Amino acid sequence: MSGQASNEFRALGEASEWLIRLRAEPDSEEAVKSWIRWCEEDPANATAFERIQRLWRQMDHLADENLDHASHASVQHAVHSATIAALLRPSTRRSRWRDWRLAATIFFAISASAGWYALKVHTRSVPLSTANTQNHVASLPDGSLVNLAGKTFVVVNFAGRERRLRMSSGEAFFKVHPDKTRPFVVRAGPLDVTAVGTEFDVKSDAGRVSVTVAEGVVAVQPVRRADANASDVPWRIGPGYQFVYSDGSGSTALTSVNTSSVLAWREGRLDYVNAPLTQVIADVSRYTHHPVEIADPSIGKLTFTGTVFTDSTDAWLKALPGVLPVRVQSGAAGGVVIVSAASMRH
Amino acid sequence: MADPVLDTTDDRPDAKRPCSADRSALVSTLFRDNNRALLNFLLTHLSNEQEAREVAQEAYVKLLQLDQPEAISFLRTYLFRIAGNLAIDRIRRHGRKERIDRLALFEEWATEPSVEQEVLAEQEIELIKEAIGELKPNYRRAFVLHKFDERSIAEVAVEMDLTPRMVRTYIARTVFYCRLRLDGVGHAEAHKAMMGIQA
Repeated sequence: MSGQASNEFRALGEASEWLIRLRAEPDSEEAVKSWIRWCEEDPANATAFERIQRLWRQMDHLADENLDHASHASVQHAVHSATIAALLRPSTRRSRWRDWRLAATIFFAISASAGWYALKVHTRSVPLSTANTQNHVASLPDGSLVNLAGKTFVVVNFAGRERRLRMSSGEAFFKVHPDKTRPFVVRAGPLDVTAVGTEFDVKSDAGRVSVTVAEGVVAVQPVRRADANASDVPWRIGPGYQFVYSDGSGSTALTSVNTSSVLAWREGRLDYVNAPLTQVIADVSRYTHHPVEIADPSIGKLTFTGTVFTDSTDAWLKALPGVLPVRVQSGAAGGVVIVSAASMRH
Repeated sequence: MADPVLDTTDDRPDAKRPCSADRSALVSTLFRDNNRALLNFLLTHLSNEQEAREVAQEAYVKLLQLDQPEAISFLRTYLFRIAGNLAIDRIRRHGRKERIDRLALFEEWATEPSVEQEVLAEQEIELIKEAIGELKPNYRRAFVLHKFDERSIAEVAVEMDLTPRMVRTYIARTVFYCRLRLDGVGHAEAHKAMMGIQA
């Protein structure tokens, strides 16, 4: 065994012991301190710990009776599944059932895509918008609800077989009335977001689109172009997850988020933990009467942690220099410009 | 470590006493440097990442609200203590673990869960099942009792008539063995490595 492999084995073995020790001694400060020290001794240790922990969580799925049925957020492990019962038997063997299940997964994905390609474009449409800086709730003809953030515009077209909406830049929350026969499709920037009956939030700003799912599952797919590859499979996003697409780099990311915090804007609150200032300002400026700009890209990378109330954005802007090394100045056309505290006043 | 303020080994209350204006900056630094470790720590108790993030946020907020200046000198120890207590409160409130959502399984591949990845994830579950099947019945029983029947290590020890130390060793070996088997290590080599964990 090479030295590197043996160090990896050592780290994984110790990580397994640490995982169980931390679980066994939840109140022990001593254990936590020694564990942190261990994590810092060798970068391989922290990595090994994460790999062991990921496996530990993956093992939760051994309890699923059937992996093809999405499990609900909280299900008690009161009854042993067939899988766990099998683990307790003298030996477990690979079954044919497993191969059948793999085949079923593939079939599902293909049929979802086939449905997708049957979609058509329709022309009749009804606009909905919040021209001012207030949030706005609208109910749609099918019983769905749309909650629009300030300065957000949505065009609704329910004329065809699908329920189609097109969104301007801004943010909107959709509570979709379930109708399996008519997919609910929101186009935001370069993406189409498809749902059947679910609750989700779409935010589209300057080439960055984020989709946050509160309930159910949505499928996200780039808007099809004539030359698009027909084998494209949509990204499927489940509850508690946020999907982010950046137009510039074409990069995508899926992370778990605190949905109540993402959706707090509906109650007039914007919550942030270590969010880049560019993002915060893009949100805040939906609730200001005048444009807000960041003068220097390096300021945009500063991070902000805290809450902004959408009905007092002016007060927040005034207080910003107390929190970050910036100054807030008046700009052109009655707007506001945020500059570095170090830069000269003009 | 460069910054004595963040050194867990230094619990002297007089190490440094920054004024409260510095505190949010300190908490930001703490967040940047320790967030990964804190989430890893919380995930040993909570089974889902979103919950871990919520608890971590709550802990940072509590830390910002602390008013004893002494606390600052061992902020990190405080952070982990607060977070640990919040996690335990949460577990007690639920009375049980919450099942993670199926999609959490795909975090390992993070960016875009494709069909191939879903199939891969399912295959991994099968491989884990097979690996556990290769272990002695005592190991399997200790693992299942602790992982799926929500029994503490102490309770498993009583039930199986073993010392708690032995139970910990069995479960740690089970996890280690499965990790190695998933990584493609052979049965014999994985078995030998696993026995390196001593009671």
